[in-house]
Amino acid sequence: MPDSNQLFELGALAVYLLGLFYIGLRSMREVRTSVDYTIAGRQLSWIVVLSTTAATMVGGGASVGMVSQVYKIGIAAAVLTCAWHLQLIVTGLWIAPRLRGMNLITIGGFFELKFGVFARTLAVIHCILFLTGALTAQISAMGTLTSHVLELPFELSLLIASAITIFYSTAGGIRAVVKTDILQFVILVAGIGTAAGILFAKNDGFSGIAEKLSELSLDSLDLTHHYPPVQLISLFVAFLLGETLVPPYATRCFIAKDREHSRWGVAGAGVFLLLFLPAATLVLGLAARVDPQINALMASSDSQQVFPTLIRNTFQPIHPLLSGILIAAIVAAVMSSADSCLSCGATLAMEDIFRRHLRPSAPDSQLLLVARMTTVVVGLVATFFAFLFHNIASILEFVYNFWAPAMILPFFVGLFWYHPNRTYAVVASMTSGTLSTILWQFVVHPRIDPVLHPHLSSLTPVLPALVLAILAFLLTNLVCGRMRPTGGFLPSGTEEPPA
Amino acid sequence: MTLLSILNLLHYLSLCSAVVILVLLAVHSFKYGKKAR
Repeated sequence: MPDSNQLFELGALAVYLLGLFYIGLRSMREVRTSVDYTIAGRQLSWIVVLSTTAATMVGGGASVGMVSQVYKIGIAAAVLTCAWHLQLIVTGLWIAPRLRGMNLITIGGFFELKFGVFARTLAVIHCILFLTGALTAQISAMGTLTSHVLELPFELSLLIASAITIFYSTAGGIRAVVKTDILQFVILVAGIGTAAGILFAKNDGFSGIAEKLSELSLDSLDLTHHYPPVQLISLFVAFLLGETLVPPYATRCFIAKDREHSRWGVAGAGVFLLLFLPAATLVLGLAARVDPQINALMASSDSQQVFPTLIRNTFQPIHPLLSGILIAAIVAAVMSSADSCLSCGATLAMEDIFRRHLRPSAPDSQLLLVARMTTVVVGLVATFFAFLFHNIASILEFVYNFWAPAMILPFFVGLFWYHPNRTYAVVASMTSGTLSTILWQFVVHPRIDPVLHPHLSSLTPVLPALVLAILAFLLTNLVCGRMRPTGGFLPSGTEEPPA
Repeated sequence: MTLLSILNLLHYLSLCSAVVILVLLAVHSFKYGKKAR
């Protein structure tokens, strides 16, 4: 029988989940075409794009994960997260308006338009890999969190949380996802902001926290205490590039009502998160670090539970309803990222697989049905994977390592230095970026002695693989730069040369 | 300016940005709701 504190927490969570159901049902009536379902009719204003982009960015990794990282390694973790927000600012200011101007539905469409069918296929494979990994990680995080809050077995909690997310994403598509993202954004900003404000005051600001840290002989405010400078820079670059233009963010560039709304929506999300999140996670992580009660509890449990444990221990004595709202904020953060990946997966299946390869002339009602069915299938597959793989951080690290080396350079070439003759060079760089990541991760890195070569062994695969991808691009461009692309290499925006 | 005073300043900036964004969203929802009616 749950006590009154638990009842308040469960009540707050139940109200929040019912709100999601209501939004899903309402959005179902607004969806009439596949364009409504996949890109919300391209009608969103900058503040809506800002909220949905920021809610998507603050997932399990940036909230629960980062508070536990600050708890473990200190200020370096908060500084590293700045890279995520900086990439959103760069994407918003210079890339989002150009992408919006092309009226695309998926990333695959951009690659076919600029570099032909072969590049599109490679891009779609990378999108599938990224979305499968990211969705599995977020659904697994939802299960872990809900299980902690509801005190139910992990498997049952995973099923409850993913069933709700799959329901509203299937019913209302991206329209429901954007609306729930706004609700989740408000709850998580208000929740995390309130928690950081109260804990800051309780600990007499950073001066009080620093005093307590020195009493405990901890160097949490020393930037290079945990990571040597080379590893810190390497991780910063990996964070900066690892998420750049991944499908959920690219979709946010496509759904704005025009170029300017796309620019200020995405860049605004980056500016807001840069101001808000690193400072808030630093306060939360360090407040937990200097709290003897939390340290005692963490000695026997998973460090990923720092944030929910901190919320419960600090706010339940003030009022259990406050604790319940803040727990709902954490669940909201994770759900808002999972639903975005789910929606992107369905759009990819409908546009890049069904319409491209199976039924190019399918009527819109059939496309809408396919999109809805694939939302359910993708959600169920990711839930199945989440049962098998529980280590959220390593799943995310794995998919980030593959994304950046293969996908970043083609975007920049396609948008800022485009020529159809560079198609061969782009395909060569995508292939070598992927192969270099595989080689570094599975062949080279395991053979590096961390004692003899500490700097080299601390490098993430992103940097060496990206350098090799750039070299492959430059060399192929030197050799094939005058050759006109033909066949599968012919961009859809150009005509085949006469025989 | 010491590291601690910079961190304190960043914290206040963080709280202000949260308030500003929530107010902006509230204004937008009000306008959108009025338009929808």
